[in-house]
Amino acid sequence: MHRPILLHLHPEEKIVQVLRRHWLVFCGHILTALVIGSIFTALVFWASSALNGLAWSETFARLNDYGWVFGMVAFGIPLMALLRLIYDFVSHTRTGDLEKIDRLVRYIKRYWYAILAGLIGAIIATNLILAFLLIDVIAGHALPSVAGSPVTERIGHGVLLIVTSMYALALLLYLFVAWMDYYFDVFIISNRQILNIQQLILVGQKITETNFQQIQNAYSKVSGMVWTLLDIGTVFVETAGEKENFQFNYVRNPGFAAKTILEIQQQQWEHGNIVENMDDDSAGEGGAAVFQYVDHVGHEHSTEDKKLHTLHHPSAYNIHLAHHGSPITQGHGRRHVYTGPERRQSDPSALPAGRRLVEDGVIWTGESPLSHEIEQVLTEIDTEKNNP
Amino acid sequence: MSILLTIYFLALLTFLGIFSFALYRVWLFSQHKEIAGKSMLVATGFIFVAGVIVFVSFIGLSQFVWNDDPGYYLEFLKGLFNQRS
Repeated sequence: MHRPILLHLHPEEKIVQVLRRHWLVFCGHILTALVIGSIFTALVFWASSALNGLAWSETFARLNDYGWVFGMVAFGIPLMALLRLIYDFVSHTRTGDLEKIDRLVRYIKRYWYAILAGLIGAIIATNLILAFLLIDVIAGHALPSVAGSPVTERIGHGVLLIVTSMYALALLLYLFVAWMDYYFDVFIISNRQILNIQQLILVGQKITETNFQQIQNAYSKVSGMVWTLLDIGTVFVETAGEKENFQFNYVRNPGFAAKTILEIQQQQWEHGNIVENMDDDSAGEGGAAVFQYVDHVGHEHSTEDKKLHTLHHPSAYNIHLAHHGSPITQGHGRRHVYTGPERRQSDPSALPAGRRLVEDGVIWTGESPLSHEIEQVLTEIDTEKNNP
Repeated sequence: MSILLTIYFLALLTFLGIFSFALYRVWLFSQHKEIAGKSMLVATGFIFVAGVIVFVSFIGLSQFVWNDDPGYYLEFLKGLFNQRS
């Protein structure tokens, strides 16, 4: 049977970093389940009490026999969540950044009532959920025994039992699917490409990928007090051309991820023997790509020994600079401008989209207009070279 | 044939079907060791909790004799109708 494959990796490809959203994101779903479960559990309490002819207090008193179970789990779960948050924060300040610890202390002092209310609410909600889950067992022991009795004599109990069981399973399924939706959203940085795998609830999946040649920029953003304390933010990756930009939010330490992307891209440029520096007029070994420039509105610019021509291209701004009157030799008159990593001239088929190989070199046809800053810098370089 | 039990088992079958498909998706994901993470561990936890719920529910279900056949509900509705009239 054909098994679907999620990742297609090149034999030489190595995964550098795998990013997932912070677990706090999933807590929103847990909170939703707890709130809805608590409300339903309260209704079950009421129904159970009414069916057994007991007051609320009497039913609750019987449940207290199992108080030790509730106490262990009800206090344990919120406490574990709190300890985990503290651990996250402390691991973030492992370098001994006293300023961040001081900020945490000030934050707790200021919002202690909200933290306490949250803890108490979580304990109550967890208690109710546990009661809801255990109510079938409790019904057999704490309440009047119904063993062996026809359900038609206690149809209310029967209906209550069926409904609570179905609801518990539905709630569990909701949590499971929500967890899948959260956990299967993965952002992969390898040494050849970036993959963004998005799980669409249960059955859908969207995978977008880009190689480092298409990346124009990578940066991160962290905002908000809690997110800043925990260093959780968004990684943005801007790609060239028609490819959609990447965005991965609620990531721990997003600055490091953006930096990793840029470092790998830099390594790829260097590995391809491409010189990045715009001021460098020396040709690379094996013949680096040569870009030629024109004014973006089509005006010809002439300098002492250079002439700018406009190439006709209906949908792009062409930059073409013709060397006029002087041969193109090694180390003279070559200029390198890059919007991304470039391949060697000897391999024209490997040119990225938007580039065209001509006799004298490579023409860049970009959809964005030539900025005045680039044109000014290039003109200054020309002037300096011609008038040393 | 108990109506309530029939409804419950149909719902249980639906749940098992969707849950099984979700587990299959998790298993597929876990085949890629680079990104699997703790997916199988968490899925095992969910299987355990689902098992506990079903087990506890069956304990409760076994307390009763499920004699609510369609005839019982027809009589129940007849009684309601007679009361109103």
